[in-house]
Amino acid sequence: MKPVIEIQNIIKSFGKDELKVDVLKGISLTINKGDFVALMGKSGAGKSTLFYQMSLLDRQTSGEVSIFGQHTDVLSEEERVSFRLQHLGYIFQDYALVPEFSAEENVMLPLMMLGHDEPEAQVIARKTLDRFGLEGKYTNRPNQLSGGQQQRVSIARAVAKGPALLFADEPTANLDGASSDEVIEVLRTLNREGQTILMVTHEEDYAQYCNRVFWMEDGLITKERN
Amino acid sequence: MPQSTKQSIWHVAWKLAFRQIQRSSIWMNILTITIMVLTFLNLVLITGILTGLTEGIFNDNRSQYTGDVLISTLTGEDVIENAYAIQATLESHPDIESYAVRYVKQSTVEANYQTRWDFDAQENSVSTEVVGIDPTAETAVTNLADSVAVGEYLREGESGYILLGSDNLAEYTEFSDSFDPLKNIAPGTRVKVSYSAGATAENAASGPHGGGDNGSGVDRSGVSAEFIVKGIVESKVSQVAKRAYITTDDWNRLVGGAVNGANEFAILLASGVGEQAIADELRGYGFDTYAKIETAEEAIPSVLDDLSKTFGLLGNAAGGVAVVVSAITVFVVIYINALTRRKQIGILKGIGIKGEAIKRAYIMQSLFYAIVGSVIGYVLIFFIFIPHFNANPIDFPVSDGILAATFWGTTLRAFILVSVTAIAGYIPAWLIVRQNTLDSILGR
Repeated sequence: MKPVIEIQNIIKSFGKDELKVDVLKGISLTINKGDFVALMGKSGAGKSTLFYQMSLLDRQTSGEVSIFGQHTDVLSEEERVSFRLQHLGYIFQDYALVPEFSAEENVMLPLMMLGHDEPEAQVIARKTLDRFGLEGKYTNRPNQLSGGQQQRVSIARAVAKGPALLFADEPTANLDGASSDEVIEVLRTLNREGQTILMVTHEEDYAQYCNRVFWMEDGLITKERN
Repeated sequence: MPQSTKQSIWHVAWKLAFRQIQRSSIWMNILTITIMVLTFLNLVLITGILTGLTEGIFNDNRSQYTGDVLISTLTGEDVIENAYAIQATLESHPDIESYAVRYVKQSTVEANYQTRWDFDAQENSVSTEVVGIDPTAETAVTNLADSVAVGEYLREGESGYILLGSDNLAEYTEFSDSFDPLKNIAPGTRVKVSYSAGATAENAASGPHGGGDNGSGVDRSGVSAEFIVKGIVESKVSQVAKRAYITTDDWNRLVGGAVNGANEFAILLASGVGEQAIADELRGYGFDTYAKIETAEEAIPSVLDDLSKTFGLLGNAAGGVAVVVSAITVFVVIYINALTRRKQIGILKGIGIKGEAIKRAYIMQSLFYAIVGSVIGYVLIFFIFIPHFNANPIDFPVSDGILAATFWGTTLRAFILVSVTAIAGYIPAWLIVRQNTLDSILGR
């Protein structure tokens, strides 16, 4: 299997001197292409912190994060933004849609940033929204959509550009049971099509769909299920 | 069609800015634009009114006193020598539409001379310049007839009448505390004009009506004459309002020597003729040997010139303050806007939207508010305020204040406002965008 992310001895600390707290205490792992990975653990275990280091939203204190063989530590802030745009997709817990934009415009935004012109971006956005059952909702703004629909728009925004790696930060945390099931089903479908996914979740039920599950405790990976 | 990165940044910035303006609260947009309009008006109106005030002074001075070119007596001289030659040149010059000759004499005008039997009683008199004018020529250059507020203007050929400037009269002047003006004067009042004997007075004594009372009201032994007040001249040009006016014929009777002893020529040029060129031409004839030749602008009293510069500085200072206020206002508006969207900005950066696109979106919003505010300001200034102030000038004591705002001057101010606003919009966006992406997303 081809590794997509390799992390080596990641340490993340907050504070200084005697107030210094190590939230990640030296984690190493590899995620391969096509993996559907769940990061699990209790609150404060460090799963979100690890997620942010791996998804390039934060910088580790020490250790190394490589994505597709690229050492990400050497990238400047602007280069990390470009890297995220080109290779990574994000699904946030609270959907994180731009409220002034319609569903299709939210999906179009990263596509336009990638260089697609507006009509082209619109065609791709609509096709992606159709795929996630959002036909006829193109011009609806986020506040005109249900939570489940908003999360599907968020997924459409993340995958429309065809990222190599999809990060999902507790994507079902704000959804009711039915909507959560829908979202997980969408992620499973994407994974079956070859999409590599890293998901933070509290839900054991959803973690069972992942081919790899990491349990974290006190800043370390304490258990792994393949 | 794929776009370059630069194009993409502009495209995304435009999309973000457009939607944020379109979908933000209409009242917030109206409030921000109103602030920009008021700032723009502040920038243009304060300066424009202060400039208009001095421009009003200059315009009044030109239209009511100097004309386009003023020829006056050299310092230390009583009269313009060789006035004949000057007058002949003016008469035949094709670019001179009209001119008025003035004969000026410092005199005393007394009102209660007929009833003041007790010479210890206070004299109701004032010292002023009495000016001999050709009523038709004078009003052709300075519209003096229009300045007669009470009574009537002088008629050519009539004798025994005088116009008194309002600054000489207690009922009109605001400066009665500092000197003792004439009281109880109205059209029909008789006044006595007299002056101390000098070279011109001697001329008068030997003039056509010299040698004692000839029954026409001229007292030649005392160099004085009786006149009936025909009208009161009111003007904000003090040089006009502080004088008294009689016809040239009466001047000749009173003083004599008018023919070759003029004191001022006020010249009105044909439309489109440059006053500097004519002044230079007259100097070229050597007339500056006998008289002071000045354009209307040069003839402005230095105190007014200083006043104008002072007002200009005040206007610029007020404008500067207005720009700073607008910059701070826009900064606060954009900063609050960006701060409330901090999480959203973090997420945009998180999903790969470049910080430059986000910053440009905020600059575009600032520009939108500044440009819309300026355009509304333009409309208000050029279609409402300027026509209004032209029709209803502000009644300042020293002039009729108008709003002096040129298109290019206003455009320059709009440009300054828009530029400052763009910077004021950029800084808060930069401050928020440069924050750590994750900190913005998590709101920490």
